[in-house]
Amino acid sequence: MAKKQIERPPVPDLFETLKSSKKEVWAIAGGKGGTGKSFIAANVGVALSKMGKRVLLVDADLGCANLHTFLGVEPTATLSDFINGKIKSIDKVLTPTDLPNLMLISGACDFLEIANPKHTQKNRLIRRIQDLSFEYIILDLGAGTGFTLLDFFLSADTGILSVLPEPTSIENTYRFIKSAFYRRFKKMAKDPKVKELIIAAMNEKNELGIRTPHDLLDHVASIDNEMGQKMKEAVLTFSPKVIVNQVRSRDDMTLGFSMRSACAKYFGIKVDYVGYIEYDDYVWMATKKKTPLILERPYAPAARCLNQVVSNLINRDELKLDSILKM
Amino acid sequence: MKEEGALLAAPCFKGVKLKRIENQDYYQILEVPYKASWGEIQKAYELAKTTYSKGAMASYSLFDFTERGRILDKIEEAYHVLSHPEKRRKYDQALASFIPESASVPWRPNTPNSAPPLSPPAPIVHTETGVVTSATVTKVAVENEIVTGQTLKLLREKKGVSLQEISERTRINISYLELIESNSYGSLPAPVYMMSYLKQYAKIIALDSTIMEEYMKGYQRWCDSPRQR
Ligand SMILES: Nc1ncnc2c1ncn2[C@@H]1O[C@H](COP(=O)(O)OP(=O)(O)O)[C@@H](O)[C@H]1O
Ligand SMILES: [Mg+2]
Repeated sequence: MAKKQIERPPVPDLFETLKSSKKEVWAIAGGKGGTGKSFIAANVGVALSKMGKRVLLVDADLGCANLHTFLGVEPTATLSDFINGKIKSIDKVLTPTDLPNLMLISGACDFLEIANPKHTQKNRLIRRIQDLSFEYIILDLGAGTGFTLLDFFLSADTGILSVLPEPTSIENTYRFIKSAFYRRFKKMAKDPKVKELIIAAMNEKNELGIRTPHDLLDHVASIDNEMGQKMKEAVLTFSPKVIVNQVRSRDDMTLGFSMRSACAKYFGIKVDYVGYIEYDDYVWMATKKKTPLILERPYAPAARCLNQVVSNLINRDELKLDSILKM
Repeated sequence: MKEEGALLAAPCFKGVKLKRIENQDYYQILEVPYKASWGEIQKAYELAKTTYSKGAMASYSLFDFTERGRILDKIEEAYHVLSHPEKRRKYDQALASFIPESASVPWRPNTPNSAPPLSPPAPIVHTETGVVTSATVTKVAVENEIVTGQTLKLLREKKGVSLQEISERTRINISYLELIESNSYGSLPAPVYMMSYLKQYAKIIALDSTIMEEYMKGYQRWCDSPRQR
């Protein structure tokens, strides 16, 4: 799929016929650059569309968009054009791909100031993207823990975190999880005293002695019991999915289970370990050729892993500890 | 993860209901379902030890030395009870009175295919405590003169572990395990392999290694006997 001009199908008509009530938004983040977010987003999109699903990939990495490169297409319009109002209708920003039911909304690297759009722009964007008639909408979020990114992540039906089996990546993932649900708490809180508490708790060396989310929620409950309860409920519904990418050993594969346990014991949240993706030289070969791995090498180890991950995501299933420890 | 209405769609959150570890039951501490099999508990325990070991990637940035130590203590405590059929049964009975769902799928050792009883499980009558101490073993060994396959079977059943579980955990073909327990010396693999098999078998059911040495002696004697030459 080298760069080529693909004739655009009549997009607006497509939308009229693609009215679908069932829709899922999956957001892929990971706290750190280079953990394979774009690679995973592109291939998950391809895998779903190969199953006959209508899929939209959105490159929401407004700082450094490169999802189009993984797909080998050249976008004519980008998300920035929509955000800054140059293009009024979101379906005019769609770029077709080699697969008939896979579309892309590309991001752009050249509008760095756009990486933090205003609140109203952001809401409009989230709403417009959710309005589109696709069965699956996959957001490739960039690195970091900016508010925009966290809001995208929280507004998705499924939040997916891609982690590398190395300390820095894991640290960043935990920081991301912490930021995400403190962000959510802050949006729930109305009482300024509760808001203050949450901001204070974000600092790990706070004077209130708040170490874990448990401590924070106990503090909140002591000010406003009802809010404390609400936040506890919010924690229970926050259940991000973890993918461990570039695994090279069985210990790397087990890491997802260990992270799941650590998250349960520390944050009190249930993380789902949806699978690992092997480190695979075919990935960079496919990346170099600007072709999604699943199309280029459908039977490569990493492609098989991706299919397993997609199947778990669709079925809301998890990897089983048995499948690794038994080997 | 939607802001509103998410509660209704909340995934069934079986494990930690946002309780601090001090307030969790043993199943929640080990993160296994109430009906967990012996094998599941074993694996969860191994995983937990890895997860909270010194410097472990998944936990070092969330817990300091003391917190990790406390978690490991809790895990040991939970495992000590849940890995032991009799202790687990007693614990389950106590738990059922305040966590009804823990009793909804009764767990019973060694009955993987039988239908679960409708009412709370009938108490299993144990004549002994079920603890396999060296003393018990020595007693058995002395009574039988040597440790045979029957001895191993007896000890294994006391622990509530099925052959299937041992086979799954060790990857030793179940038919070999059956041959070991039925003393079918003639069909057993060579002593070098047997040593390794027996070691793994012993490890799984936490048997004293001397028992296995005793069993090997019997096998070796048979191998060395004149009719083998
Ligand atoms: N499983 C894998 N095996 C080998 N290389 C990989 C794998 N996953 C990702 N890569 C490579 O790592 C690099 C970074 O991936 P990318 O998706 O761009 O990261 P991100 O979007 O998180 O910044 C890419 O060159 C990609 O080809
Ligand atoms: Mg990227």
